[in-house]
Amino acid sequence: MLALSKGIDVLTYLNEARTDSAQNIATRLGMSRPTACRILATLEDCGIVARERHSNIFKIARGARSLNSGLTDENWALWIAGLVIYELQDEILWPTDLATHENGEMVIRESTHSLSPYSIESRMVGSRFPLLNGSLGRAYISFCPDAEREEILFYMQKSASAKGRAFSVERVHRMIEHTRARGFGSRQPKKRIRSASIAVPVRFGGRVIACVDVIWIASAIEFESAVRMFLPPLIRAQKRIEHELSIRRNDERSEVAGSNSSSFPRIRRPWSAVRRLQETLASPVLEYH
Amino acid sequence: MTYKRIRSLSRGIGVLQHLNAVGSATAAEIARDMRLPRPTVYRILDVLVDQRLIYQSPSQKSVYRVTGNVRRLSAGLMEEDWSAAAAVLAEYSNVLLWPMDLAVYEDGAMTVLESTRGSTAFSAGFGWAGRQRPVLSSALGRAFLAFAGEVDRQAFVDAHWSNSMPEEVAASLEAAMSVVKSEGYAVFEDREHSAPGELALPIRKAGVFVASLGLSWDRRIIDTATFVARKLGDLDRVRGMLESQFVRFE
Repeated sequence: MLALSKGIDVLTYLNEARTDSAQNIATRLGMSRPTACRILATLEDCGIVARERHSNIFKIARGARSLNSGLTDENWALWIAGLVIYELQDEILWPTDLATHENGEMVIRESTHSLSPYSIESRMVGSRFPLLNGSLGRAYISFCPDAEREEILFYMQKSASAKGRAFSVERVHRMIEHTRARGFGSRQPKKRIRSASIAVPVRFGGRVIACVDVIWIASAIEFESAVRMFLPPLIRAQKRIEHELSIRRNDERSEVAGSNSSSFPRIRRPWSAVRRLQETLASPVLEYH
Repeated sequence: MTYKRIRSLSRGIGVLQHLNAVGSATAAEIARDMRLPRPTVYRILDVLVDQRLIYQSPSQKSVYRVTGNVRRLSAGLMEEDWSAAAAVLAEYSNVLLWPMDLAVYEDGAMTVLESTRGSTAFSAGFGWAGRQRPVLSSALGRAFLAFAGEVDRQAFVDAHWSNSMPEEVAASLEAAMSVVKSEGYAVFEDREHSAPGELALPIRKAGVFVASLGLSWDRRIIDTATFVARKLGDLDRVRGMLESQFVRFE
């Protein structure tokens, strides 16, 4: 697996150098020329690098895009916000979740439920919720761009009429107005669901790319006092994520710069997965000679 | 001089490409989808984690996702010609709302040059940029092929059938292409209902059909007829913008 590691070093270097010869790459990365040549030939086969015509000069090829095309807005948000919800949970103790929108549903992508001392009906990572029923989805649809909201409502109406169900757009609009006026999505306890929750959107590039919520047992804390307690830290988490996203995405050198200007989540008892995630947010690994 | 290829490197690259194509996955899923032994996959994932290119979800440790650091792996790609196209696509991504792809024909397949996958309100598979799409079983390919000149079409036939195309294939292809030509757009729907639907228009550069513009959607959300009627006009506008961009380049 050393070869994979060296291959990535070569690729990282070539991306910065734009073009270079096998000999130079070998010298700069402290490897033998045959090793560099084998790595470059393999990467060339994969369509990741290409040789300039009739020369031994290499450059990055189109296929390299396939190595980061999965870095969606949502994946950016998950990478950066994953730790922030743990820090939030550390502060407020009640469980927190991070969810993204997927074609009319909210999908829970990170959750601190297993850590929280308060046990609430479990919400598994990967579980899906309709947009209109929970605080996460309500925050999403209320704060997403108008064109997107109209599209979502169009699909909802279309699907309701196909199933012969009634669908009141007016009711949805009333919910959205209420959500916007308060600045967060909310869900009150109902029937067998004993918990309540509030959620805020994470915005980037004019879109809502994730939502963060807090859940508590409704009988333990009255709704308005819970809002007074939880909303300020929830909004701090939201601002923190939005700030980190804008630094890291707008600055080409952000991998380096980000570590100075950002303040990374301090979690009281970091376990291994958290520590390793923190490392990925810190700095690049490669050093040139 | 030819150098021996390094299998562990090409496999590692393959795993990283796969993770990009699916968004997130467990080691078991990767091993299954890529037909690799699980210990191999774990070793590869460990290296990629050490390189800070991927991480394990803290809430569900079996799930791996890419970090923002993967951006460095194609930052040095120089293709000035298409960057203006990327700007057009980005500008319209909030209008179309579903993912758009711009692809060119290259060596018997459609290569996706630019894509809005990753920053659209709705999703229909992602991680397509830099990848190849089949010509016959994609709307991108069908839109291109129907309008392609004789030379390109012959090149495609030669790339896939060494002698000549079997007659029944040629006949069904001819029929499908004439539908695309008369409608002006191509639609492709996989037999599997969960697979995304795809709508595509051919693109001209200096009067020659060189590329195609696709729009994908989730067929479980909306039916084909409604989707095409709702989006075709907007997609055509984007095509117009792209074609006028190209003219400015020459």
